[in-house]
Amino acid sequence: MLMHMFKIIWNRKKSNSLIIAEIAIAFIVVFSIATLGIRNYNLYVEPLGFEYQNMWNVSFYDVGDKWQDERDQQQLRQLINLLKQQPEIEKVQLLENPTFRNWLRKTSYEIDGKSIRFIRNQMDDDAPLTFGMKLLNGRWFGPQDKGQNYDPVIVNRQFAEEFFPGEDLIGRSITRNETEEDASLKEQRIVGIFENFRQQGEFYKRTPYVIYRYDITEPKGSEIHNIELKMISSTTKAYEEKLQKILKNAAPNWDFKVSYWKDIRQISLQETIIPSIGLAIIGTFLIIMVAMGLFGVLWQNVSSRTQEIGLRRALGATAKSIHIQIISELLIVTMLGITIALILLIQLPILGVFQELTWVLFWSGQAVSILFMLLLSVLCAYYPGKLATAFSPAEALHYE
Amino acid sequence: MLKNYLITAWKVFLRRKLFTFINLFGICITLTVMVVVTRVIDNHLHPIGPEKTSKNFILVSKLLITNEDHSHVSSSSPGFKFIHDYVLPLSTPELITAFTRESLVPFFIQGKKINHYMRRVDANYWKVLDFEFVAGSPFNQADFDVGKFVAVINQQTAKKLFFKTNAVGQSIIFQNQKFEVIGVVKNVTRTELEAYSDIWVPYTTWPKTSYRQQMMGNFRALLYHSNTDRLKDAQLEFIDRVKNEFVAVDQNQTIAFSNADNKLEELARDIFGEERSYDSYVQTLIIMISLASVLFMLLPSINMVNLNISRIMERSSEIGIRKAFGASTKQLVWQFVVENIVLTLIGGLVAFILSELLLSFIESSGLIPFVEFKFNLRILLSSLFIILIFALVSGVYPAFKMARMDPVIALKGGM
Repeated sequence: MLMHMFKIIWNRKKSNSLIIAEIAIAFIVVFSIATLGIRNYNLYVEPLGFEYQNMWNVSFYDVGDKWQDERDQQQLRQLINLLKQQPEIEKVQLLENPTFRNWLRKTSYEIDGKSIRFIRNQMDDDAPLTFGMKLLNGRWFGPQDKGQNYDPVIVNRQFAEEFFPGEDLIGRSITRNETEEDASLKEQRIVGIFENFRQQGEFYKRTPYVIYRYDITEPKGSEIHNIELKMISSTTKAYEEKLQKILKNAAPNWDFKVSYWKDIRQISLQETIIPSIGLAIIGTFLIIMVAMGLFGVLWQNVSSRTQEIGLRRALGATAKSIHIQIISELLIVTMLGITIALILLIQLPILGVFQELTWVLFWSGQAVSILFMLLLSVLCAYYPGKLATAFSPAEALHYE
Repeated sequence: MLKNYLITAWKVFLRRKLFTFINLFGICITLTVMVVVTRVIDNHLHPIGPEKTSKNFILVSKLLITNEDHSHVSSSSPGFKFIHDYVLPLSTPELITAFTRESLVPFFIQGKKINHYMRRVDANYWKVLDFEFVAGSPFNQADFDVGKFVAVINQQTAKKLFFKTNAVGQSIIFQNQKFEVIGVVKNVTRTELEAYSDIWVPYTTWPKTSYRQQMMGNFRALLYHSNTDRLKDAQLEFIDRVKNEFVAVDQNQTIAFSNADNKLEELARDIFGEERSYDSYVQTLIIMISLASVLFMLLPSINMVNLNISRIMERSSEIGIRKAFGASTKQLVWQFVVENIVLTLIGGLVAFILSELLLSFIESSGLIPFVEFKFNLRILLSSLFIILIFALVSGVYPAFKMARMDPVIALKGGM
């Protein structure tokens, strides 16, 4: 039966080859949209690892001058103390690279012959608690880390699982030790493991993440341009005017920009959602067009095969088996199209063109789009197939 | 002859309305997307606001400084020192203007925060860019030189801060400085990156002068010449100056790269440009855009080819009779291609209306502040070109197939 259908398809190979090409391209379109959708959904449902309610970000910069450690740290310290006294503010923290923005510091190096790459950030002592981060093992930073002969770091779960699976990481050093020179580096010791801190927001891929301790009271400290404020829940946005005045009076040489974590998150979400919606709309129209095209082509084919169908009916084929035959023919053509597209698409994960396109994501995208295309072709073939069964054998054999 | 073709075409469209509809649907969707993309790109390359002088200026907006082995690379907008030392002394351009990028300044009105964009500019800025003043006038060179505290604002800012358009004579305060409003301009669209802002003040009013020492910063410059052809010379003069006369401030960074680009070159460099290069990427941009449009039109074309081929049988008796009476293959091909062009033109017309609706939706949605898409001859011609390409790609193959039918088979009704 199957061989017979292949033969029928082969006999009409010229017109079928174009349909196969159309289905293959349509499949690539469906696959791209499905994969993008699955990726975004998976990332969206995963917890952020921190809370953004009642959090404000104050970024500041000196318009005309470079950061000078001694002078600017002094001013920042005074500013923090001033802010801590405000009744509207619950907590004042420092975070080097702010949340929901594309400001990242990536680092990669080898330790003990193992290459590790991660995103790094700096926080001060109570920041993880204020941000509502979840500790899995060990401890957060604390005053006991001050003046030690090591730099404490905390890492996220993915860092632990990806680079040191099964190891107890608390107390382990992750100091770079590639060259002779590295030996003089201060030890970087893991003191805690936390669930996650997805700094860029929901739609960005999970990465190994390492947080260093930032201490404003230590003279070296690096340049920092952000203060994070946790407001008491009754503080409204109207407070910003007063806040701006306090800031400007305390540090007239700096320009301040106040934003709310919640709002920046919204903007950052939209940056992914709006283009995705645009793509999905165009994709949907393309698929509707393809579906209508297939429907039309099949309708024409069926009417030009009236004689063949009549002969089948005369030789005893039931209306149902004719209906099934028409649908199965399109299904086979669809599968041929999918196979061609699959051969092309599988090159992407094999060659590693997109880092984020893992095999799991690839196959789940494939599963969804294969199912979708088969369903679509059944739908397109249903009515023309029904039409084919409507001829009575005698009529069909006479048809010219 | 053409009239006959058109009449036949019309009859064929009406005969099987469903198929005509399916074809039209595909054409509309494809062409709507193509026309919208064309108009957005056209809007970027040929601004209609203050940057309507764009064919007479080139832009310096990026600077990269590095050393021989590229171990100390900094890359951002140039600072004032770079503009002052390497752009302002150029002799070819008739006018040169230096200005900063727009930055946000908050205002509080009755406890509510309103953010406005502010730019610091020079006096030439108002000559190079063609702002439309609804009240007052820009500041002049003398005001600029003495660092007078004057500001030009746009209509929206005037409405929000003073509840009226004519705000000349009012004063605004931000960053602890008080400016007198001397001019109000029409709102500028966000897509005109060098003109867009809400407030413009002279950069000589900056509280400190340390910006004058910065190699990297947030400055940019436009080089203007009333004769477009002379801009090429200005470009060469600038590149030559950066290449040969750059004096390092930092011993680690002795080599500088910067370009002066027109709108098209800038767009191409933003997308495809490599760092540390003086090449033009316009060719790459054009190739990639053409490739992308062909790829996008591929699926709809194959769809139409499939539909048209499957309908050959329907026309077989007509083809048979035409052939029997001596019509050549060439004539028949022509006829079918014309039919397809007519159908695509009808679809294109609908697509035009659809894209107009879509663009006016984007205009009113506020997604891009103050954006305005105006219709012009250039858009009409490029859209017609796209329609023609699409009609040929989807129509020629089926036309050949139909026209080459054996007349005997055709007369018998196929197979």
